[in-house]
Amino acid sequence: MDHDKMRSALSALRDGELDGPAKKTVARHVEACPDCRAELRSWERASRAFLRRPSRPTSAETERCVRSVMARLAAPAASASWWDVLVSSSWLTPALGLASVALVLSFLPYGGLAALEPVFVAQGYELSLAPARRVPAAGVAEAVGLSDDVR
Amino acid sequence: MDTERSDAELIELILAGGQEAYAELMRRHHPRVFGLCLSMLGDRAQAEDAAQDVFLKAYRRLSDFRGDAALSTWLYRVAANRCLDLLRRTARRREESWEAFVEREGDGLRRLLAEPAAEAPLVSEDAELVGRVLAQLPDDYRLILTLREIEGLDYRELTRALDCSMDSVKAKLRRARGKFREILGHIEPDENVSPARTKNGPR
Ligand SMILES: [Zn+2]
Repeated sequence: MDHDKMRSALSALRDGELDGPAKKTVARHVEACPDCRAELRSWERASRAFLRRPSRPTSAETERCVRSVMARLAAPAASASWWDVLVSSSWLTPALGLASVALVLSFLPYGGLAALEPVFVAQGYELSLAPARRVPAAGVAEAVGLSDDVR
Repeated sequence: MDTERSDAELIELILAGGQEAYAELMRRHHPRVFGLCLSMLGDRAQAEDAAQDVFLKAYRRLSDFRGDAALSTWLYRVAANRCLDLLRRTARRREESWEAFVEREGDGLRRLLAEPAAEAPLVSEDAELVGRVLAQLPDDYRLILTLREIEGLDYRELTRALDCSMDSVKAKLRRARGKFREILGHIEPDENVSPARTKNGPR
């Protein structure tokens, strides 16, 4: 077995993931090879010093987490619901649309009205739909601090 | 004396509407989730926030949990994704170079390396040293080493927590360990180069 293969085998040996003949082969090599022995020893030392350090929470930290999560679960609707109502209500989208059209209209000189009609109708639709659906949804996800790729 | 309810029993309760059973589940698993977040993020306050996010997320996704792996493995996965996501979002501060750090803190680092056992909690200066060492590792290497060496996951559990193949687990571990050795090479330059065992003297 060459040394590159041996290095990955050492990793597996150390993790207790070798068995049978493979384990025997690697163990025999380590016995005969000072480099591999030094590698194992040095890894053990490094792991003990820097990796296997107790990094547990205090019981106060755990309780704080439990309390905070349970409180947020108990009142989930409080932060999300009015957005839900807003987004799902059937009257709101036309209402917002109307409002934005009115807004656009109020800025237009009378003369330009006829020429701009197709444009602002299209924009009115955009204005009413996009902010009402997208922004609140993203806002809630952001507020909770979560992303969708966590599964 | 009542027997402790299993994770599966608690999950069943929660999914049936018994939200309060989630507190018991959290108390059981918070130490592991927090531990992973702490070694990934290197900051207790950030780890605390991240662990909360993990448990909120996990609660909402609880019905997705299949039960073919341990709940702890599934939680590690949620936590790993959360931490990697947080690390991607925050621009890392530029700190002094590793070489300069070793120059300044070499004695402390060597003392940590020489300690016979690491069972007592670290004093905060030492925790900071350890944090600096771990921060030298790329995020995904720190993740797999933490899960393997601290949390004690075996390879099969690692494939689930990291959502990757067995071959990829082996390759990542080997690379991560190689990188870790390379980093520590600055601290213990001569120890393992066979002939140069002068400092330690005869045994
Ligand atoms: Zn060898």
